[in-house]
Amino acid sequence: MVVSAKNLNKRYSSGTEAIRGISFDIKKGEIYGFLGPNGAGKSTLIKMISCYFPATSGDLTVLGLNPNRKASTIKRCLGIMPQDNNLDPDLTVFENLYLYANYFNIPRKKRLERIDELLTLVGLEHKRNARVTQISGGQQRRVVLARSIINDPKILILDEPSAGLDPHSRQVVWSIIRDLNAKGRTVILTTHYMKEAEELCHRIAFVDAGKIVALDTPEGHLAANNATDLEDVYLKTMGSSLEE
Amino acid sequence: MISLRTYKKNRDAGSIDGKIRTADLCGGNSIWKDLYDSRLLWMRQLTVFRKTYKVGLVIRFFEPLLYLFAIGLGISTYVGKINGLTYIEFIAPGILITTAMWAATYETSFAIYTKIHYQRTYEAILATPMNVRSIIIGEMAWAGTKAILNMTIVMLPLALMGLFHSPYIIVAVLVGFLVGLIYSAFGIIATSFIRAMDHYGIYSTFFIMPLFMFSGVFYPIENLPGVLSFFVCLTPLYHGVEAARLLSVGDLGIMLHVVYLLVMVVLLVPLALHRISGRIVTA
Repeated sequence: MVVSAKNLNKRYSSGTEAIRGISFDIKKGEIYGFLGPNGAGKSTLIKMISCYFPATSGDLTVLGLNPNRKASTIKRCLGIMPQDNNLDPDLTVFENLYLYANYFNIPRKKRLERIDELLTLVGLEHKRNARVTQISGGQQRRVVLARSIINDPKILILDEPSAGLDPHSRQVVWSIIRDLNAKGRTVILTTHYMKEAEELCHRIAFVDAGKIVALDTPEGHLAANNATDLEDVYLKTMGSSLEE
Repeated sequence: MISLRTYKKNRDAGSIDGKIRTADLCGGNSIWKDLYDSRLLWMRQLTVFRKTYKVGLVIRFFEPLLYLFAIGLGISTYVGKINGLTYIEFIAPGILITTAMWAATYETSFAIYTKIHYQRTYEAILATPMNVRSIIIGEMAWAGTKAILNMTIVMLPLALMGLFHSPYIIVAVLVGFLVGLIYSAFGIIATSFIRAMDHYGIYSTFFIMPLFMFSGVFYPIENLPGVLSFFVCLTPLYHGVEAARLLSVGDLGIMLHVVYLLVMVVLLVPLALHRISGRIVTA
């Protein structure tokens, strides 16, 4: 298991209980999706796996290590794409990637090669020296994706990867996710977008009010709910309307 | 209150009781590793600085000179010598040291607030092997660097004008570095309390400006009422100003002032780290 959680709880200092006794295992090489409405606890889960903050109680291991003791070691092997485009607005596309690689202590020569490779991968070679505030939202999203895989991560964690993307950028992002997965990388993602989950995920956990309410393969979910698509499953599982 | 043993046991089991502590956000890293990693944040700051430094340096250059000429030249004709120094010679070392305070205050107030709340710079960096402690130590080191840089820029014209009587004034740059670290810690502590950008007005009007006006930059503090002069003696800026003034006349007897500043660094840096951790990571 690359990620293992047992009876995980998260209560914020504000008192909000975001995660209530969640347990799950994510296997090496799978694409695992967390689906659920806003405020369900998806981003909180992602942040705990990303070693951003600790759980309030319960056991969590990432790559067999405890995030509270070995956060730096774990994060060296993670690629994290957050929900918002938190690129450095003062810097160019190249500088953003260069500095980010620096935080991973990637040697200079390798860093430059990797940046060229990634800019080609996300189709932004021509925007290399543009300030990130001067490129479109979709292009920024692609830079964030490139940034998240600069360290060739073992686990790629994507929080709403295609939020706000045009169809072209979305296809670019999906194809990169599939390629990385084909190379054996584990992918964890959260999404609102049913088609994205259906297209990419091997297993989908429906999260609601801090709990996993259903966990199965996309086919398993369809069969269990006698549904034709995931949207139908979502509505039956959550008992509420889609927010999209 | 739980025992350290229970705390460590809980932490190792992946379970934390109660509030999040700075150490909880450091993922078991040693302070030495975080100190080493902090250079990466410093390098980020340098990259951004290299893109914007021209305008910034011109402002930093003129601002203290304005004070010096407006107050120094204007008032010096009405004021006799103070401890053997002309009035403009008397205030020059103080103006030099306050440059360090202003530099560190800017770098750790608006700049850090923006990085937390608007640009979300730290959120991005925390997705790498960096942690809160390495980020904040890097910020303080950068504030100290800016203090040194700005002081050097201001020192050159003042020295050329012959306002310093001794080359020992160069040592004041190191004193300014300590002042920079202290005011970066104050700036970070203020940022940890602030809930909106406008609130920085409170910090600058009621904390930074009084320090600037009362810390012996413009007149000897012996002129102040007893209680006030006692409080001024407690401020780090006063010790920085006094040390620079002694150095400007070739007196190296600054040891007590330097020790005081070092003690303040040791006390304030951990406090600033503790305060800001919970603001950077809302857990």
